[in-house]
Amino acid sequence: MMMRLAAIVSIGAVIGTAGAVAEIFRSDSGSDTSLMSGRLIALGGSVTQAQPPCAQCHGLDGRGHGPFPSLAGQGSWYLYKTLRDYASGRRQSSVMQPYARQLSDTETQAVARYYASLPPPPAVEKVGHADKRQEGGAISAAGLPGVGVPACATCHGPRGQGMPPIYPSLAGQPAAYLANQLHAWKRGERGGDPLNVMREISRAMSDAQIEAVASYFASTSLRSEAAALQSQNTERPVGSRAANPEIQDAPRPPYLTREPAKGAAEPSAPR
Amino acid sequence: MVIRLPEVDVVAVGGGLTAAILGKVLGDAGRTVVALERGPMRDTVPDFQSPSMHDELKYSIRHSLMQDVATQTLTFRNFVGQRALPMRQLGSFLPGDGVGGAMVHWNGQTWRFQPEWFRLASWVRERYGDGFLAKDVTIQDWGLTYEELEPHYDFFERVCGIGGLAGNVGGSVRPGGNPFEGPRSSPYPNPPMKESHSGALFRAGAEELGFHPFPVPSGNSTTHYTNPYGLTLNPCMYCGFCETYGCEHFAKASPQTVLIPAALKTGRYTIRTRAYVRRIEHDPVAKIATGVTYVDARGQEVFQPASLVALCAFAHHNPILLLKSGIGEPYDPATQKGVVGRNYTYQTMSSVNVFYDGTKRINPFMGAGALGTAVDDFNNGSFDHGPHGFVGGAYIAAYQTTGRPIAHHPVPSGTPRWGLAWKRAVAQHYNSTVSLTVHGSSTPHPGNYIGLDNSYRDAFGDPLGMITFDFPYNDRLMSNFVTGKAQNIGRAMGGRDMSVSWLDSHYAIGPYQTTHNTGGAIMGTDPTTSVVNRYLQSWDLHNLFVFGASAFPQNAGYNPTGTVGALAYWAADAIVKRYLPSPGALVPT
Repeated sequence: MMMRLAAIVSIGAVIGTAGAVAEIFRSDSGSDTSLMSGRLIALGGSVTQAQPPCAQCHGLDGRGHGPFPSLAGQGSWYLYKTLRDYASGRRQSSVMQPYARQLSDTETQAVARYYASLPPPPAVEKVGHADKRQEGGAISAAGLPGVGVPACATCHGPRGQGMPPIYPSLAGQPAAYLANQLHAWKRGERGGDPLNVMREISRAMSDAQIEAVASYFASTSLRSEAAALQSQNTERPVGSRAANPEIQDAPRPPYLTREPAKGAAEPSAPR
Repeated sequence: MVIRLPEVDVVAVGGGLTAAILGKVLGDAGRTVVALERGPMRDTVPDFQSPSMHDELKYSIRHSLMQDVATQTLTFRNFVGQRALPMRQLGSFLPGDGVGGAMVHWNGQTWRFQPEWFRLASWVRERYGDGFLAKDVTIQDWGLTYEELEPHYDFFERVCGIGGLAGNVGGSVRPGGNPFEGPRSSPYPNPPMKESHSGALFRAGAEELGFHPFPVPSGNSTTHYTNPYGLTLNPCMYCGFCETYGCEHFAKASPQTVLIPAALKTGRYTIRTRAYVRRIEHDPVAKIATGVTYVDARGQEVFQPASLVALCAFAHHNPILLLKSGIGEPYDPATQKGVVGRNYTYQTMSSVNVFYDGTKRINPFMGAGALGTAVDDFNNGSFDHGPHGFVGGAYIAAYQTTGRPIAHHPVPSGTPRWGLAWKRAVAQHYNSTVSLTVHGSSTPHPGNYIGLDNSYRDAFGDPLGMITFDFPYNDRLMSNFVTGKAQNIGRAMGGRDMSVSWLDSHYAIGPYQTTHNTGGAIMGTDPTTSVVNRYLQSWDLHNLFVFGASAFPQNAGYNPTGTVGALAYWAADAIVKRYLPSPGALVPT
């Protein structure tokens, strides 16, 4: 958990600056070339094939809208696997399949890595009625034990932050996208889930419950999670840093740096 | 002033697996069953929820789901004459506490015992002759056969949704399964777990030596499964938090997931929590149990009368309760007479670590409690003991249960125990080491038994139970023999280095080994050498039944839960079909 949060903070903190790219690749053992080629595919179409770029639907910032999911800050392995699933037909989409098929394996890795490196969407708006979000939050935290639905948080993490490499982040995904996916599972039209976990879960949920969890996760953000952690680590009063979703300029938490944190005791000499 | 409650049909001491089975079976038969659980209520929601459940310090190190030894514990010594001391911290074994008992925090390894095991004394005599074993190997027949128990093994596996590959269905051996298992009436209800990388390396090494690897039968569900009671399990996510944890995914078979909801639905099963049973009340003249006395959550003493008393507590707790209640003749190691506390046995564990030194990526954190590949070529019924002079055996398995940071840091022998060199070794070997478990049987010895220790008292002022135990010579021979075989497999697996943890010369109660305490209220054919008959019915009081692993006359080279469950169904079936229509001794003396 801490490692995951640390990664989010580090991505959030450094992206958009010249040092960002190098930082990510040091931690991801990739290469500068693959990130740049991923960016080229995302924003300008495939390197080898002329095709519309991902950004056309998923947005220049990769944050999606309506039926188009946010890719920004999503786990890179999950993005890679999803594209391979589209290419192989394990996951059905007449829109995505042609794109996924045209990408080579290296290009798929590159574009997945690029989107994983982007800052996740902020919690910009509260979706749906507060009661709905409350219900969705309860399902996220405790599931529906009477019908065998485990808590979303058991796999997708508290507030839907995801547990890479396997479990995607749900935080800040468009509500329409989330609801569509659950309905597709319910109808048996959604693949890419070898143990059919999500199929069984969605079948046990009512349409109203699906709407509730979709509203809830659309209203959460990886960024506020990261910001909350940031405020804890810098011991700022709650409300100053935590209320501010813009954390790009935030200092890195002490455990990410090799220098001792401010005020930390000097290492004592052996006695 | 003792509160006296209205009489119920059945009172069960304990709120775990066997009580839930009894609650369901007897509830269906129209009887009221009250289970008295010393711990709190626990359920998947809210108690086992992530991320708080994945707290290694809280659950594995501080044992939050286990017995509180500050309230009640045992004393321990290795041999008669040594001064027994109280167990002030849990270590070697971890009895559960709270509803669901130890089956909440188990791993899910669900084995059947080989058929030979149930008539071990006769089998050894027939096969190896009268003088084969020393007199102090006090093995016994169980009084029931594998064939009688098989339908109940089968049903228990279906209740738990066990995933595995059958090796012997109706006498015909099937490829990929365990060829040394007893004949099964049907295959496992679920397919086996996915094989881990460590399992695949073990499989290759074992096959090279001509052994017969197979996937360990798993209580971590592999599919969306609906059991015969209509209760569902979700597939396991391989999160690596089984042993000492509850499962947040509804994926591990536990009383909460596969039994209790069905038992409660009968409308006749009640679980009373925070009820600490002090003794069984009985009428020595009428030779019946009259009920139990317990202390409730407010500290009030309560008498619960019942027409039938079932001891469903953890294995060593059952004989201790009998001793405290003055039921049955206590075992005396000096004369070797008496029965209660006799044949206390355990499990004989050793292990081999194969170090690949960075050349393999094992990813130990992608694990599950029963994720493993095993060979059964050296269990009791699989090979000829003739040249070796011991009885028993062990399975050898490569389990990939967890990569949790506090528990999992295998390093080669000779590594410093702390400091920079240790840290470097942990970093080097954490993700590149396979551990082989040798899960050995435990034969009884006249010096190993359960008694009472009046030098120490529990929170209620009662004497503590006392365990006297050390590894018998027979089991040391067995362990060294099978550990040697595991060492050969380890070599064939092609690691760069290997370390072997041979059986320690003496049993120690400190380091964790297994929670497989068995015996003490054993079943058998003769009232002078057993506490209960083949139906787990007390020889002394016909309306007293003693469930659980305390009934094993000796412990096999397998995990006990499968046999505990099957025995409970066998006995519950006898209670409904034979005892209730005409209460009395089911086996004449």
